[in-house]
Amino acid sequence: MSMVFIASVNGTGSATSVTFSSIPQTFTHLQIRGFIRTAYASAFDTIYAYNYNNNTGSTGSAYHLLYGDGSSVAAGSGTGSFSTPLGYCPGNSATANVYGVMVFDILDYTNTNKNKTTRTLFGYDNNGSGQVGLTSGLPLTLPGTAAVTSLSLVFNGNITTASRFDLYGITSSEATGA
Amino acid sequence: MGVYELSGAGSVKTGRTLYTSMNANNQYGAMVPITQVTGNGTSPVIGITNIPQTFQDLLLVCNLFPSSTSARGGLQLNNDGSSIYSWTYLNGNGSSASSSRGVDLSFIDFYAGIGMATTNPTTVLIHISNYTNTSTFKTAIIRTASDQNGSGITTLSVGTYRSTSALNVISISTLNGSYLWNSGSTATLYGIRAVSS
Repeated sequence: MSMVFIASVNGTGSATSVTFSSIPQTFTHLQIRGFIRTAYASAFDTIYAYNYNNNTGSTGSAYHLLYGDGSSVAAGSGTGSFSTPLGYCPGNSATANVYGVMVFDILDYTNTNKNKTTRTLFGYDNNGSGQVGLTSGLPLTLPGTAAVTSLSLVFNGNITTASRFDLYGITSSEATGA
Repeated sequence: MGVYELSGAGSVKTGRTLYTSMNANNQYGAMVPITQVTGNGTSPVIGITNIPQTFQDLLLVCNLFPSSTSARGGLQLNNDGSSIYSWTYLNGNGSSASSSRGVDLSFIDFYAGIGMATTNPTTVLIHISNYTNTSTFKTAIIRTASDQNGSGITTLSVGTYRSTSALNVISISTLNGSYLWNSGSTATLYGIRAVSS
C-alpha cells in the first residue's frame, strides 16, 4: 500500500466551497486532508461533503456523528439530506490563527458494486472551547454505487486563504502506485 | 533524504533503488518514513529533532509502554514548555463516553488525562497538519487505543499549540521524570508530501 498525492486546493477568502474534479480512477481509496478555517460569523462552521459527481440535486445522503465539546459527548444522525456533514471547523469568531484539521476517507471509491461509505476525523481547539469527533457518511443517491469522480466540500462561510485541502490516492499495490 | 523502492514491480531492479530526488508527480508514494525513535527504559521523553521542513503534514505513529501506570501521555513541540497548549478529547472506556479539555498548559495530553497501561501497548497516531506554516497555530488530531482485556480506553483528541513557528522538534513525554518509556516503546515519524511543499 502506498499513498500518492493527487491535488491541492487552497481557500481563496471569497468562496464557500472547494471542488476536486476529474479524480483519477486508478487508486483503491481516497483521502482528503484538510487544514481549515472559515469566515462564517460564528465560533465554528460545518464541513459538508456535497455535489458528488457534479449532482447538486441529490437528496440521498445519510450520516452519523459522534463528538465531544470538552464537557459533554453528543451523537447525531440524519437521512435524506443534500449533503453529508463531515464535522466542524473554526469560524470567524474562533481564536485568531486557530485552524481545524480534518482527515476524510472514501474507501473503494471506484467500486461500482456497492455504496460508498466515508469516514472523517475532525477537530479544533480554541483554548477553552472546541470540538473533536468522527463521522460516517453514506451518499446513497450519488455516487451511490457509481465511482466517485468529483466532489465538493462546502461551508457556510468563505474559506480563508490559509486553508488548504490535499487529495491523496491510496493504492493497494506496492510502491509503484499501480 | 533518499527514498528506497523495495519493489521490483514494473521492471527489473536491483535489490533497492535509491531515488535521491523524488518528483511529487510520480507514483512512488506521498507518505515517507522520516525516522523511528525507541524507548530505552532510561528516559521519560521520546524526542525527534531536526524534522525536515519539506512535507505538508506529519504523522507520528507510536506504540508506548511506560514504566508506571501513573505515566501520562504528553505531546510537546519545539521543546517549548510555555503554557500555550490546549486540548479537547473524546474518550470511551468500555462503559461510558466522556469529553473534557485542558487549557493554558505546557503540553497536549493525548490520553484523556489519565495514566497509561504498562502491560499491553497503547497505540497513538498523531496527525499534525501544515507544520511548516508560519502564519497559523498548529493543530494535532490524535487517536489512541489501549485495550487491557477488561479495561482500557480509546480516545480522539485535538490539540492546539498557539505558536506560529514551524515545527522542528516533537517530544512524547510521560509528564513525570520518574516514569520512563520502557524498551519496546516506539515512535515512527512519517512525512506526507504535497506537490507544493
